[in-house]
Amino acid sequence: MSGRDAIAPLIPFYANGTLDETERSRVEAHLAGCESCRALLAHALAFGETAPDALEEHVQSQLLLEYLEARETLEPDAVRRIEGHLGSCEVCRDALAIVKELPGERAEAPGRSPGVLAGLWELLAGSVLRPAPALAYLLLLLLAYPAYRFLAPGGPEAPASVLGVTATLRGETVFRADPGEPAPPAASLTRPPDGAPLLLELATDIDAGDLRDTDATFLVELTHGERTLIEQPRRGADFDDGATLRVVIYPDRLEPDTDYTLSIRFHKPGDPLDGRVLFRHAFRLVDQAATRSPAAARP
Amino acid sequence: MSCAIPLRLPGVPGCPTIRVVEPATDSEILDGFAAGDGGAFRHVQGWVEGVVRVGRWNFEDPEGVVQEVLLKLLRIVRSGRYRGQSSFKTFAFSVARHTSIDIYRRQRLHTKIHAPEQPEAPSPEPDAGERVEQRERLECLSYIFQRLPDDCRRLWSFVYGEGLSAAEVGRRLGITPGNVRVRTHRCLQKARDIATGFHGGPLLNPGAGP
Repeated sequence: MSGRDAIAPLIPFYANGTLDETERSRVEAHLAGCESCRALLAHALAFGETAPDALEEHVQSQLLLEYLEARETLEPDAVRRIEGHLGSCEVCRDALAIVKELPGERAEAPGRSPGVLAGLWELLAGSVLRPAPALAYLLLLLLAYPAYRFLAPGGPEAPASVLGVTATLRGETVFRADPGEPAPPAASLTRPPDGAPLLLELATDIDAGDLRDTDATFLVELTHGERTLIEQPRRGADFDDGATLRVVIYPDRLEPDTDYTLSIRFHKPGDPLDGRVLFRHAFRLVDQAATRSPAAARP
Repeated sequence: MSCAIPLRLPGVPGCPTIRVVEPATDSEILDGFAAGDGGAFRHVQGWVEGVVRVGRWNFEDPEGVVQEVLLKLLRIVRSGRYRGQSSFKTFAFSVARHTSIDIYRRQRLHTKIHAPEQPEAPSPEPDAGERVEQRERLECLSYIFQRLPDDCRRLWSFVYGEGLSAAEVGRRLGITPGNVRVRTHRCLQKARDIATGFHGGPLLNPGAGP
């Protein structure tokens, strides 16, 4: 046994002054040349400074947090004692409850975060990259994907329109959507020079019986990216006899040369089509000069 | 065009380009905070306020609590006790939360017993810095003691609490003095390991002799 291995077990008893004279001299001779043992002695002395009773008024706060967040790293004895204390200490229970309610640290940080990728990595490392959650996520994805393909309203693989719709502006057809066909390119609508509203008439092939369904709602939406400019719920009674719906668009709210999407979403609780986009078409407003037809430009 | 104000004017030749560099990464915030940089300090203050002001603590003086946490963080960082085991942000949140718990409990206790204000003690009392240090040492010892397994705590009580010799402890536990020494040594090492996790690093000051 080396000098250090032989001396280190004596240090706690050197610190409490119970070694005999011979052992005490050996320890002191060793300490003079061993920094590691001096550090150990410092700890032993520190532990002797305070009676254990004084160290147990409450669960130490850092330990309480570790109990909350990393219980598995604690000694089973420590967990049992903490739980025993929590059972009898209302103040500690309340403190723990407050900490539990605090939002996560990502939510608190003002200004910039360390980085989106770093944050994403932290998130993944704490969830899907662990084996058990990863399997659960995988299973969920396997189950969810077929359901998404068939049920997702307006999903990427859903047809652009369920309905056939012909849109006219002042009697002229400006675009047409055929059921089941992929989304056509954005149509160009001419911006009226006087800023007058555009009255778009959408002639649909909705069955008259469906339009009489008083539980059904047809939500007309005009969107640009994530921004919604118009969101108007319509009932079947708002369509005229030819299943035509009129939509007013105020061109001063729209930017030129920007794609907007007009859509009709169906809502009826319990119906298989509930939430489904029935019709969708993109358009953009262009100034009159840009769309003048060759015929109109001729003298 | 001349440049009257030393600000960044894109596209104007001859103008100096001044960029206000905010600390962005964890280590930049840590370095700036330790150096007393205002931007870094605001960052850390934001984190701390997120704990102190958002929670249902009902602090009588939330600003004072924020200050206490910031000062504690500064003390830890400047003394080199934060050694990067977790990100500085995680560490700051942790310190903010357990300091809030400590103050919350003190406040609840104070409210419960209506303790009168202690008069300022005359000169032999330790100054504010020493009192803080003493309190932190006590917290550290509590943390270590409460994390130890039962057999180590029993030994702690015998050896450090009652000051018994190895022979006496052995007699009480029914084991040899040599066995007592080995077990006590192992517990001391375990306690040292636990101490390194306290507030990001050991607080107990090595180097002192009997």
